[in-house]
Amino acid sequence: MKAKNPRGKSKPLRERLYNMQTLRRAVQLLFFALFIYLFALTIGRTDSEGNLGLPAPIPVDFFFRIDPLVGLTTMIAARKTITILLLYGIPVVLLTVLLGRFFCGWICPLGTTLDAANSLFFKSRRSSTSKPSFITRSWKYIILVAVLTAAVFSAQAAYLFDPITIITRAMTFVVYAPVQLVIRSLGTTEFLSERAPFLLENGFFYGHQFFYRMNLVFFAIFIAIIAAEAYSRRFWCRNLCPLGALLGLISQVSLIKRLVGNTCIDCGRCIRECKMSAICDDPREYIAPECIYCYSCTKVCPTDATRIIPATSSATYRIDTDMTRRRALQAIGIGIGWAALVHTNLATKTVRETGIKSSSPQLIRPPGSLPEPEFLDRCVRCSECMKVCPTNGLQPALTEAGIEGLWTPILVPKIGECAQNCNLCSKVCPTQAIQPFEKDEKQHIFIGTAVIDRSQCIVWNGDKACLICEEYCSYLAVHFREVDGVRRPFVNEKKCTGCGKCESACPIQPQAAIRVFSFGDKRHMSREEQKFWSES
Amino acid sequence: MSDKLSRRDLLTAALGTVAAFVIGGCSSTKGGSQPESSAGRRPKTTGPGKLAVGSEKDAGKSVRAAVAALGGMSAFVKKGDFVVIKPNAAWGREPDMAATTHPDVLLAVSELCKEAGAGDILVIDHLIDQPSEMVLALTGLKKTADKAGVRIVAAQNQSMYRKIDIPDGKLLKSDEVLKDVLKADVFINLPKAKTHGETKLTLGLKNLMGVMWNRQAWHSNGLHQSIADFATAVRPDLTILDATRILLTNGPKGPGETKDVGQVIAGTDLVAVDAYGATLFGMKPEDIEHIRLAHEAKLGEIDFARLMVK
Repeated sequence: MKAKNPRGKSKPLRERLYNMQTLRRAVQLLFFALFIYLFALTIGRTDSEGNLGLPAPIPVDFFFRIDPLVGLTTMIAARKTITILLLYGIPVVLLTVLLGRFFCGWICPLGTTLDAANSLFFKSRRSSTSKPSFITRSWKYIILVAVLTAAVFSAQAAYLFDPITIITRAMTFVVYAPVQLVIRSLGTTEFLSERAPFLLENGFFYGHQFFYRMNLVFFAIFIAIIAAEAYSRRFWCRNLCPLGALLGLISQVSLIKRLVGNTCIDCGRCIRECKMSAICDDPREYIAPECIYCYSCTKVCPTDATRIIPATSSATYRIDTDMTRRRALQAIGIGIGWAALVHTNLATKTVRETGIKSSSPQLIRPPGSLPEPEFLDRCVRCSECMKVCPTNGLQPALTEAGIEGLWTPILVPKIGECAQNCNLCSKVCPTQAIQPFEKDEKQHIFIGTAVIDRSQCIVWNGDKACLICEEYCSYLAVHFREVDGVRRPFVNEKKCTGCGKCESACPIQPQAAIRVFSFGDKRHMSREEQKFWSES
Repeated sequence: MSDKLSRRDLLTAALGTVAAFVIGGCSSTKGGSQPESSAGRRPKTTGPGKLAVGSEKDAGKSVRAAVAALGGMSAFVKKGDFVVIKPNAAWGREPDMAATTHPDVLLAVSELCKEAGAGDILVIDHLIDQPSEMVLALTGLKKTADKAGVRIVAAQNQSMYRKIDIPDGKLLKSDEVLKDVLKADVFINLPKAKTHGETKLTLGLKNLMGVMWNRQAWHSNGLHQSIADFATAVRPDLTILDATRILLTNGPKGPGETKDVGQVIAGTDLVAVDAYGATLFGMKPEDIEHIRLAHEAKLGEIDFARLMVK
């Protein structure tokens, strides 16, 4: 919307270009480009010595580190201080206290996506930013308090509503694999397969096509959040985002305020332009916790009455958070209720002293994962490990880990094994739910045990000459013995790490004759104990 | 502006549909256009085979000695030829673990092909361990291929393979084989001499498994017969068996006990090369079922001594 001064002439080009809104958009795009760049860097590359690692020593989980909601809920739920999250999160918190809720308008990649979607799809459909509803606006505070309360009771729920996890999951499950498919389709045509072989294997994708479970679910969620833009601008940020709520709460004493001078002619353009409907009936007043510093109001003001500048005066802003004591108590109740339900869900029950969950025999966690209770506290279902896993074996859980473990990573060996000489998942986990480990420690990290189903195995139940499981095993855990004139496979539990290469190789699919089961999960033992046990 | 579809809209829609067909159709894993099944690949030279053993101190020298005894690489590679070299690169193992073809052997073979005037040299294998980039680096083969100035490709996409008929196969009647192998002027088989859990030994015949797509089919049909069946349709022009260091136990992947034998065996008769290789492990070639079956299918001579040149 071009700003015109009262005489009807357009503002000079220079003014239209060099203003804070342009700067904000540039910064938004820059951070979004960084987000995409870091996502592209979340891949395994091998150096000339054969070491598999991330392409650059840059933290690919940067956006999770600066997300105070992730840091807060994880540390509360796990009852541990995670230094890296503090290191990156505290500056953001301090900056927000001083400068306000700029994160939402300048940095958040989901916010940028919503702004872009608005420009691309919804601009013509809405004439104004629709009247704000104070009731729906309070939802985000309710969600925030509920999520924090659940964390206090050791139930990680931030993953459902945290914008950084949402946009990253959208990238992994909705964007990554389909984009790869389109590029690979071009690469397999007769015309391009010789001229452009890099289309099949390059720095952005592994050499084989990736697949993800439940991608339709993540697509639906992502589309719903974007489609909400059609109803009102930044619907998600206004009404549902707990991170926005948190940042809004702590920005009460922000030094950068919106001031309206005497030249205000009550035209009301700023009210219509405000993405967050932070300006209500009186253009001179605004709701500070809602302002994301997009500078749209300053841009459209015909008399330049509006300015957003550092100021100490508190005359023109309100700090309503639409949060009453009653709502806060309700939110706490929801949080407690969620935690209680999740902890008494049948799948949460563990068996015996090993802490192995009763939820599913297919609950195979990435190597280096913390024992299940703490794993579930820390895992924010960011999907970074599922993106980086070179075999595509890490997939989001549906029921395997119970409702508490929804979307947490599990290994599905028939899709891809846990590759030997690889520790990529441990390098990208933002909350260290997957603890660091060295590649040569892997033979003593037991995530499961393979079991041969003799009724299905064509050697045991057909006398065929197969033994592909014995051939492919990286750890010498499957050996053969001649029984009744045929070499037949056996599993050595002390050597089987549960990597699943055998299951992935077995010719019987999709339910292989040799399968990895969770009873071999030895996370309740320390690394030294596991090593000692395997050698005994 | 009228809401009716203009000619431009219709044209755009038509082009869009065609583009969708091109992209969508090509995204099927069969890839591109599939011609009807075709014949496999037989070696160019006919008549009795030849066999030579190089046993110098240096792996490269052994290769050169063995190939020289067969008449030199120019007996196989003509100027401008498209040469395909198939090493054993399947496993993510270091060269000294003797699970994959040693880089020094690949280097020597590549150099020999270049000296003979080869036009395009492609080193290719269908890898088993993942990710393929790591496997090629760990085995040292990527570094060596780059050093020798030859292309190296991990054939992990089904679109790189094409269906062939195996009319003489008893269990295997068709298979999907690397397109590059099928259209190569010269196909050099570069196996590693190792023990194997199922087949007892893996040498040249078994190494051919890496030029086809669906390994599971061989294992589920019956591995030994499948190996012999495949060799009726696809055979290399030259087999150079890397027996510089052999894997004695826990093959084909290891880790296991290795032995420095220091030999390289070059031959045009795949069965004879394998038969010789068996003796390095103290085994009789007739006891290795796939070698016996291949011999019975008249694919080569099991009595290698008769073909020995050097």
